[in-house]
Amino acid sequence: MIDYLIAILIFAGIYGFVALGLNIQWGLTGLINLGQVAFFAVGAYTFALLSKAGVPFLLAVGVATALSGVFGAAVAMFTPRLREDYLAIVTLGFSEFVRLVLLNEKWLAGGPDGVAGVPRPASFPGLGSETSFLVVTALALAFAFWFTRRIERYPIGRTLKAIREDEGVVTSVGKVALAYKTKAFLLGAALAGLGGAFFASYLSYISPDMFGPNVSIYVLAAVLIGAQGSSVATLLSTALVAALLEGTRLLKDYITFVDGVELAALRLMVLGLALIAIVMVRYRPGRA
Amino acid sequence: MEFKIYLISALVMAAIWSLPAAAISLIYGVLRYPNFAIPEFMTLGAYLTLLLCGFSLPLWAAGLLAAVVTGLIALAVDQTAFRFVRKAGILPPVLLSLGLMLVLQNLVRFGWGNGNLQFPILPMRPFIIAGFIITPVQAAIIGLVIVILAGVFLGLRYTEFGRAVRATSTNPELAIVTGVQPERVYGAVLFAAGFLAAVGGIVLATETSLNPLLGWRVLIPLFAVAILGGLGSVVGAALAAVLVGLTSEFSLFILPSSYKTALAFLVLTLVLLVRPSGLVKSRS
Repeated sequence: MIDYLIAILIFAGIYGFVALGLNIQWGLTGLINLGQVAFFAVGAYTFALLSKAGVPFLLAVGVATALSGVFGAAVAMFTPRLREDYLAIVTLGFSEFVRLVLLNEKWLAGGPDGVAGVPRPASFPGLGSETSFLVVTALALAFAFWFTRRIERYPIGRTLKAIREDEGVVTSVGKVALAYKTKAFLLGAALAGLGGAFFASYLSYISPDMFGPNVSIYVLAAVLIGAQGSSVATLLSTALVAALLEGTRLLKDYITFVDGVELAALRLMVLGLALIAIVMVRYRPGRA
Repeated sequence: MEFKIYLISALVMAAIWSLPAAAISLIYGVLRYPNFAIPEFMTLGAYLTLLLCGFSLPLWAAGLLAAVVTGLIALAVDQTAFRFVRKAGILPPVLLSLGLMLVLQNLVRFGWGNGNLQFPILPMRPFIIAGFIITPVQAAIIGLVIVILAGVFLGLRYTEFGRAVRATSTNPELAIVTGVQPERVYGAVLFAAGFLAAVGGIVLATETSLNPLLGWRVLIPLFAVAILGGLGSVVGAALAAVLVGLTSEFSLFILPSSYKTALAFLVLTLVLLVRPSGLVKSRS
């Protein structure tokens, strides 16, 4: 049971990075990103390939984070004026594009077989591998949390919020809104990549089918439950979503009248219905 | 020889894509949001057809009934969910369509599993006309799509209701002032979109096979086609479908087939960068 709790907490932490990233883009700046899983995947694969090649843990995490950020900035720059409907389509399309490349380029990332044997950081003396990984994840998440709080409070955060509220005003005081939006996208993608690195390290095996659109939707749901609010709200709602997602896996032992495929389908249907319900509550008439 | 094979297969793909792409385009034009659940209505339509074929209906009758039912489902979902967020901007309907995508795709998976299924049709001897090889099914698909697209086009152009749809697309406020009831227009558009998507899914499944990712796999090509066609234009969607179909088939000379979808994404990005209004400027 305690092992299970640790696993849920680690997953919550991993999704936490991704959600904090999405919260910078969407919660703070108002940019729609429906393909956060793409940057998560870039981070995971970069970390996996580098650390298998013998690059030390911290350096591999750093490069994975930076590279995901670069991809984020590139997507932002290739989306004209970052208009919200284009952004929705491009980000969703980009995430599928990334998955296809990972699936087809055997030389790069093992194709459908994925990458196995991704190392974990060395355990702390006296702690088990799982507990130790939880501590490392928590420390990194605390850093990411501190970082996003700084962004929220510093001038850049205020500018991003102002862009969300009224882009014209920001432009009129001489700030280039597009540059700020690109920065927000870069930061959000980098955080997703950081989460990806921990994901690969924790599972020790990654394959393209783990990076489907449902991951983006989990995180969207989490940020939406947190009402696109502060980092604290985002982390809490992410923990809730992770607990629900991982918790429903437990049902497998109790529900015997449906098989594995059916249960997986049911879980995703529930997730879809939950997303619909959250949107209906959050945006019902009479509420902002 | 190779050239002729690719040309036919490009035209068939274009025919298949143009109906669901027109559905995306119609919703975008009138309700102004990208509906990511349209590909799932394709999947749903195909599986409903399979279900009805089980009651020993002929394929055409099963398909027609399934397309009507899918249209009604699209209408029902619009009335019970999307309707309540009409005035809340683009994001809520986009998120709803994502949720709906998950629900529909997994509903099909729950009912029929992950495997590949086939419609009960017998293989038929292909025609060979001037060196072009085309199967009767492919010929039927192209004919059917042309008839449906012409119907939608003429309906939008020359009927009173078509005028109301176009007016709502161009200027909703003005349309209301002149007596158009927007909710009726929205309902009709959603029914039509569900119907068109379902027919697209059914013909796609007759050419390939049924599985829960039937529609999802063509999501990117569909959006590339809808945007290239100038959102809101049915004729544009058809033209763009031919263009994207030709591009992706003839890319096979230089790219592996697994990259067809990736290529469509590049087309999509390029169109947004160079000509976001599409080939044909929408009627608005």
